Amino acid sequence: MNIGLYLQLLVIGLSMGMIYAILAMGIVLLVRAVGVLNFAQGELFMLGAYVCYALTVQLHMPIYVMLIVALLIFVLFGTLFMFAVYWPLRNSKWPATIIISTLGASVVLKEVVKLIWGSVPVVQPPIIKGVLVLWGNVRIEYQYLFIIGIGSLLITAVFLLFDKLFLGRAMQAAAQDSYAAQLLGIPTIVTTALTYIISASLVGVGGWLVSPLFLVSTSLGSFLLKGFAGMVIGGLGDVKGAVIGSLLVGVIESFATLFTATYKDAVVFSVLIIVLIVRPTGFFGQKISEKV
Amino acid sequence: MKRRILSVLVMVIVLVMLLVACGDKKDPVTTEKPDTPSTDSSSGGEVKPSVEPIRVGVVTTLSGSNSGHGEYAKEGAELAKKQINEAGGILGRPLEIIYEDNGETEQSYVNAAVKALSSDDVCAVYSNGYSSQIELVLPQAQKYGIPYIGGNSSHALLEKDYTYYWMLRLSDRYVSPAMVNACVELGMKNPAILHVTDSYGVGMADYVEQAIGEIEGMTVAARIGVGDNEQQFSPYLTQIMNSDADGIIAIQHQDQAALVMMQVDAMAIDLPLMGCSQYASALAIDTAGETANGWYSLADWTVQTNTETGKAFVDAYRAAYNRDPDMQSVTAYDSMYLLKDAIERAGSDDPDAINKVLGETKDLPGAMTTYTFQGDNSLGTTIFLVQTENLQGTLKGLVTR
Amino acid sequence: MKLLSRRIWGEEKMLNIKNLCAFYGSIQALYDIDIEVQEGTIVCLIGANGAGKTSLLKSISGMVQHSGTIEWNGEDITNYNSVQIARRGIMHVPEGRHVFPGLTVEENLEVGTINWRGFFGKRRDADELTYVYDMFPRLKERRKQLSWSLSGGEQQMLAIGRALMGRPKILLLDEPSMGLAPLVIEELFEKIVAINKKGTPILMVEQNASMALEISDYAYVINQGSIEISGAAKDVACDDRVINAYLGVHAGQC
Repeated sequence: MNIGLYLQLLVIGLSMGMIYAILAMGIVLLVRAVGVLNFAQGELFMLGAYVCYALTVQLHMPIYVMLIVALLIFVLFGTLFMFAVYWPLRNSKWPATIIISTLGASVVLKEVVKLIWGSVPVVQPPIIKGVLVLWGNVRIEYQYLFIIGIGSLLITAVFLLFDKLFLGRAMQAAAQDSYAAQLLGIPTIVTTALTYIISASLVGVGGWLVSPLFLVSTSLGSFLLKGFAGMVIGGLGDVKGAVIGSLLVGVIESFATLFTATYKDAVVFSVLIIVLIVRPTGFFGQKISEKV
Repeated sequence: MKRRILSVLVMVIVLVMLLVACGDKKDPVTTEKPDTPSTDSSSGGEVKPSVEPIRVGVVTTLSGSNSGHGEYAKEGAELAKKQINEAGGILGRPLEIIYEDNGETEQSYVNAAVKALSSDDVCAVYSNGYSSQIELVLPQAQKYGIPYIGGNSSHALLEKDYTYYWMLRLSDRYVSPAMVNACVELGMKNPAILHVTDSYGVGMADYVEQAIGEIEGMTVAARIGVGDNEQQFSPYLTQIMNSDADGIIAIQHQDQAALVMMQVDAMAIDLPLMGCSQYASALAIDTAGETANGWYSLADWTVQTNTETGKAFVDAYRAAYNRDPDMQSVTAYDSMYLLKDAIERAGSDDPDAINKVLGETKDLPGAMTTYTFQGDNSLGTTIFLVQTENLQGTLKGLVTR
Repeated sequence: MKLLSRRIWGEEKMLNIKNLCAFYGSIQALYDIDIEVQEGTIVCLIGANGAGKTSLLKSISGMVQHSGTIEWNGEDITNYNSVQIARRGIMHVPEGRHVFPGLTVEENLEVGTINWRGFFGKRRDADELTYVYDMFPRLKERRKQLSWSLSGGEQQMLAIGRALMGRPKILLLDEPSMGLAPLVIEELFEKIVAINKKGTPILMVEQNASMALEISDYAYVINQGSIEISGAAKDVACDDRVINAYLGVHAGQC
């Protein structure tokens, strides 16, 4: 029982899981608000990484300024994204049209990023350096703890919004029944835009968190896949489940490396398949019975 | 009305997606990398414009995320071409190079290579592709009867009867024991091997393990193979740190090499570190930055080379491009001079004639190393032991085959 | 008919609809509808399925394309959007209840205050909440329950209660009896009358003609998008055409 090893793997797993959770949350919020899977969510994540790279490395902004500017950019972009990709098609009779629209958006975003920054990956310097040495060879990178911390903060903030604020309940109402909400006088264009903004900002910050660990490249969008897995395991359409499912995915992935490196992804997706067979609605998958 | 708008929108989106997928040939971004010097092989200094050029194909990555590779290769080849043509060409004829972009997939590599091989009057082809890619097209090289010179190093390719294939570098089979010896001198007795799982990585790891086995008292603490698109190495590094490893031998291509260097540094790992030649490449060091310092490597190339031809090359390259040459540059450069030597000895640019005399290459001083036929279609003879210091590979020793 | 009622009640018209036509794309659902709702009255619109009843209410609340004139207390609200309509206290309770399933009873009610509270206003709904819980004690019992788990009748009460939270100056009820058992309908309609007695005028569209006519002051009969019959509810209930088509039997007083 190598506790030190397992502890380190757990921290790494939770950290990656937090990233997947952020992605999954972004998707689920939109699923609940507008009923559509946003396939461009991974590219919004990638865009977040590139924007923060541009602000930090290319424009040399100090971190606090950079965060504020980046958030403003995400807010703006989330709104733009909604009006370009979703709003014109919102009354379409086939939900597939919106999905295709998001697919198209994901391609466009990738290519635009390539045009601006090139296809060769770039490097974002670490946000926090150093390791916490617990004992012997057991060392935990502060960067991972940072991700777990910030990720928890973000996710808690979103939960609080929907739980405590009246605005959050109005947004939930608009997401659950848009017709009734409009009759009550809720401006659904505002609530939808807010949801898009929250979703884009969440994954944008996620992109920033993850970029010092790896290279900032157009392939960052592929993280979305693990976010999907987490969301499905937790129960499609349920935010709390998406978070827990994603954390699980991160931990499973991390511990899977003990047995295999090449088939690590296969392990994760095998678990996904097993969960789907045993409990098709995911662990928490009662679409109606959960808040948010 | 709305239905029509919708269907038009869908068609437009699908069209855009198709265009983007098909049209991803060139990388349209101009980065801060300098231009290749403008040379015109048909109107260079001493060469008569009306003479038939000697045509050589170069297959390299000019688009996609690996395009850095190809840029260095093109610069090296162009520099050689300029120098050769200014000095009178080959047999009085100008050298002309045809570039084919091998893209990002195996299929696109094969297409590019076949295109190069089948181009009119091409007498030889050089490619800096991975061993796994080159292996795919060697049967084609046999078929077209055109010498295919590779910048790769997997020994497996030498063991298969490809008579038209030539390896510029020392093959992994000979590099690995040298690498292990260097590790012993660094104090490693129980290293961990971290390698990529393509044929290059597995082959090299096998040779390394074999070499370790032949040394008294040396063992392998752990051997971990990781896929070539993996970005998260922390779990594997954690496992290595929790074994009894007293050193790390790392075998990756340059993007992953940079990631490993970055993540090893992030974990504050304090062991002796030995990387394959990619760890000393300008591309990897450029990406990894300061985290590359301290790594040792058996590198085919270092900017701090101490050979005459090497130093001259470095100076000329710096003057032309304002940056240091990478291994990709020097292999492309040397391939042109290798071919010049072969063509002059053969007296013609007939591919079969060239192929024959390549096997008679002896003591040809190149920028990277001295080339002598080794009996197994490889031509390289030396490799450097370097340690990266201040973002450059400092020469620590020379290994001769 | 109309002059008589105005002299009897002596009140101003609150809601005055003239020449209303409603369109779903290229399909027309209403043809030149004229409807009035006086202060303090219950007005019902009865007709068969698909006759256009819901389209009328949707036109008022701004949810369907329409032409004509809609006046509210002298103000022309024809082209107002749903937010503006709700702000004026015109609360439309939709057909099929449409409670917010993932919110509790109390949260549903709270959301109903948005038209006067806005997103960030202070919560000052204690009076409204008391009113609703007094009117619907069953809702008070279940205040913390998620609304998807309520029975059909309870959901209907919740939907009406939610509209009451919006300080309505008029209630538009869309088929409140739909899908409910007769006993439940009776109790529901008692509540509707009680609400009206407290001063809120009601415009109700209903398929259950007999119950609707029983509690209404004024009635319109709509058939295939046009008003066929209109008048005091008592008179409409005794009209032979209405009896044949919708009631099936003479009401006692005719």
